[in-house]
Formats: sequence, structure tokens, C-alpha cells
Amino acid sequence: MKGLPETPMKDDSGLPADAVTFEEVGLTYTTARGGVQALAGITLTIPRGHFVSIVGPSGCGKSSLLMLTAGLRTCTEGRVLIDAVPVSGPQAGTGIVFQSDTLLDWRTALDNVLVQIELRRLRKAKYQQRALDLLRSVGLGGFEQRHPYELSGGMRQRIAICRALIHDPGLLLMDEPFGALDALTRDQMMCDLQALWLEQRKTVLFITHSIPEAIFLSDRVVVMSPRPGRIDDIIDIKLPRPRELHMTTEPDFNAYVQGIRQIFERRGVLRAEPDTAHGQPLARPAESNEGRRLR
Amino acid sequence: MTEPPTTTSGYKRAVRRQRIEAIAYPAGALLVCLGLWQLVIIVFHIQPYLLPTPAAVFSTIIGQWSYLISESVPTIIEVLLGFAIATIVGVAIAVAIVTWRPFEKAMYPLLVASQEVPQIAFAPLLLVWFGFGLTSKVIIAFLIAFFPIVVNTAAGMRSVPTEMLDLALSTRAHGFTILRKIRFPFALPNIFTGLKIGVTFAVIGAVVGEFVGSGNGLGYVLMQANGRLDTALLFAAIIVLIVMGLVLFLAVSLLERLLIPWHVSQRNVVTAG
Repeated sequence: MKGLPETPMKDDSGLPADAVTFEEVGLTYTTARGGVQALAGITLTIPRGHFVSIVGPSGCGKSSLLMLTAGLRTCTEGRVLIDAVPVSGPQAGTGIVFQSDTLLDWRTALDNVLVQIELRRLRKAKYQQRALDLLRSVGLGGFEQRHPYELSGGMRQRIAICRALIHDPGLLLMDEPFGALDALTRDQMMCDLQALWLEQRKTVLFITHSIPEAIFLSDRVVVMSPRPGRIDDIIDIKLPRPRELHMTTEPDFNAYVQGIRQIFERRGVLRAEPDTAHGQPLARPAESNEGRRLR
Repeated sequence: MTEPPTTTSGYKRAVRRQRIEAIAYPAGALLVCLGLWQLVIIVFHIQPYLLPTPAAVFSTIIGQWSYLISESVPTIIEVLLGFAIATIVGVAIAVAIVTWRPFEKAMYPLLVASQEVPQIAFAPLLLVWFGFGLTSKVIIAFLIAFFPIVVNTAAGMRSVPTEMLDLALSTRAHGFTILRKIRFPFALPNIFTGLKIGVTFAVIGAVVGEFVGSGNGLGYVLMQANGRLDTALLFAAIIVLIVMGLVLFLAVSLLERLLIPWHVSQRNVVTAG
């Protein structure tokens, strides 16, 4: 990534140490049956250059938290600050990756990356080379002129990640980016994302419901519980980097997995024995895959 | 992960075979139908003023060729003008429906309700208002072709996934930029569905307009032939109309193929079986 166009976000000097701050954030949706509290009392800081994951079951409001950070929703209580400035709408220095790749079928891989530049009304010519470099750095050199339908799910999501990074944002928001991929591809994407992060050191807010994924990637894992979504625990992951896949079966790693599982079990999110009386199976297919993979 | 698409000779042969089959099968079925038609006339001694033989229709097409072609010209002009206006107005209204909430709330129910009105019933009135010339037929063709274009275009632009729109909003792009770069291209497959229905409807509209009152066009030929019990000419005019409709439909399909090669409907030439 040499000779890339710089944005002010890249310059750390003069910027506060905390990239993102949540101050007593609450979010209440208004529905026909009254208010539904999605988030309550979220207080959290994400230091600049850190990789922070949020894990929690479906419906714990973790995606809402990401939307608030992106400026695509507005919180009903408290406030979200990015670089100490309250968020009031979409930001210049933010890149987003969703669970679905949201690629535009009619554009080539390269043009899908550059759509970010076009929509932001930046000079396309200036970013052409950076787009090519990014695609090459995620192993898509030679596929620049392919259309999404010619590519696999993993390749498509790599393009989506390049698109989120093309304008050199200081903050990368990822909402279950590997949720739709098969287990093997997920492992590969996890390693590649770590490599990319080690190289670029962006601040990352990563949403997942996979405990191992969160531990593998993060400096800090935020555990959330549902209804209303609130923070249960914040766990610093002190495993050395770069982390490798074999580490996921080692005792240090497993201790973290167990720690988070226990939090969920305490909250009744995970049950040791199947409980048909209450219905609602919470072990989702994706998670059973991970279980198998990690044993 | 990196294998190129297979372009073996076996693949090409399969494609060619499928193309031949795509023509050979319907052509065979058509021949069988024509044979049955001829057979029914012979077996039941049907009079030519009731039902002409396929051979008689064919020879009428050949014999009256220049007459049929010259009468096709006004019809095709009406169809193309009506269809063009329907496309422009239809897409514009769909854009307004999708981007402007009050307009949608005000207009969409009316638009749907207006489709319960048979537009053809207005044909006599339109002739009174706009005369027996070109204008009244163009308006009838437009009225009929317009609705499928609006509905399909609006449906296409509405079906953009939320995450895709969130992504676009996160870039602080203008609504018009999002429309131009995301909603509109995303809706193209649906727009073409609307256009294909619309162009077929436009032919119906133009012919109905000519039925009601006209001095030329294929609809006029049909009325004249019907009055003289010249069923061979009647069938000949119908066949010219069918060909016209098919050519227009194929022209829109070709445009679709050129504009949206990325869409599912335009891929996978070789299918199982």
C-alpha cells in the first residue's frame, strides 16, 4: 500500500486517542405495539487502531450499534462520538462491510470497489491505482475485470472489503461480514482480515455471533446480551499476533472461548442441555459449524 | 477458485444444439398445426369465406404484399410513438413514485384503480377528441402500454436491498446519484420485463384505435376484409400483425441482452437436459 492518497484521518497526531466513544447510548424503536428497547446504557470506548468485536445472540442490538456508529440511525438516548465529535450522520472517514456483499452485479470487481469513490464524489482517477493494489492485496489480482456472478462468495466479500477501504477510512465497520460464507472460507477470510489489519491498523468495529471469530481477530471482545441489548462484559484478548489458525485449538484460546460461553450460559442465551420447554433453539447452524471446526 | 470458464468444443456444440432445438421444436409444432388446419377444412368441407386454407392465406400474403406493407407503415408508426411515450412517461412516473413519498401516496392508488378501467372503452371518445388521424391511435397505444412499464419499473427500483441502500447512504451520496448509479441499473431487468409487455400492448392499442375509426393501417385492413368476408386477407393481416409484434418483442429482447449481460436471465445458455 505505498503511495496511497492520504486523508486527514490517516494522520494520528492531533486526534483523540479514542476513535469511537459510546456514552450511555440507548435506542428505542417505535412500533405499533409501543416502544421496543433495542439498546440500553451502552458505554464503551474503542481506542484508535484497535480491533474491537461485539459478540452476542441475534436480537441483542449489535447491528443497531453499528448502524448508530455509521450515522445511519440516530440513538434515542446518550450519544456516539467519533474522534470526539458527536455523530449526526454518515461520516467521511467510515467504511462499512455488511453480511451480504452488496456488490453491484453490473459492475466489474474494480468498478465495484470504485463505486465508493463515485458516490462520495471523489476523483476516480486518483484512486484507480489504490483500488488495483487493494484487490491484489486480498488475492484478487487478475480478477479486476470480472463481474460478481463469475466469482465465489469469499471473493465477492473480499471485493466488498476493498470497497470499504478504498477511500482510506480511519474506521472500518463490519457487520457479520463472514456470516454468509462456508466454514473453510470463513477461516481463510479471518486470517486475511488479520493480515490486512496488521498492515493498515485501522480502527475496526466487528460484529459477529461467532465467539472464536471474535477472539481470533480482536484486541477486545464486547459481550452483549439481549432485550434490551446491553454490555455484559468486556474482555481484553492478550494473545500474541499474528494469530494462526492452529492457535484456536490451544488452551489459551479455549480459555477465552469458555469464558464467553459461560457468560452466555449465565444469561440463558446458551443452554448446556436442550430445553424444549422454552422452545427457541439458540445454537444457530453457523455456530454448530464452528463448534465442529474447533474441536 | 481461479479456473477460467470452460470453453471446450463440447460446450460450444451443446450451445449450438440448443439454439437449433429452440427453433426446430416450435417450427415443427407450427407445421403440425397448419397441417391440421388444412385437414379440418378438407374433412368438414368448410367454405373459404368462413375459414381459408393456409395455402390461400399464404398466396394472399404474397399477392397483396405491397398493400399489406404499405398499410403496416401507419400502424407501426402509431405503435412506436405510443410505446416511446409510454416508456418515457412510465419510467419518469416510476421514478417519482419511488423517490417522492407524497406522490406515491397520492398517485399509486389512482394509477392502480385506473387500470380497472378498460382503456379500450375510451377509444371512441379519444377519436372524438383527437380526430381520426395518428394522434388518437398513439394515445390509445400509450395508455395501454404505459401501466406495465410503470409497475415493473417501480417494483424493480423498490427491490434494491436495504443493505445496498445503507451502503449508498453511508457515502453521503445525493438521492439522484443513488438513483442513477444504483436504483436504475438495479431495476433494468424489471424495466425490460415492463417494456416487453408494453410493446406487445402497444400493438393491441394501435389496432383497436384503427378499428374504431381510421382510413389506413392494419386494423383498417382487418375491418375492411371482415366487411367483405375476405377471410384470406383477414388472416394475412393478422399474420403481418403477429410478425410485427414478434419483431418488436425481439428488438426489445436484443436491447435487453446488450444492456444487461450481467443479469441471471441473460446467462446460463446451456441448461440441463
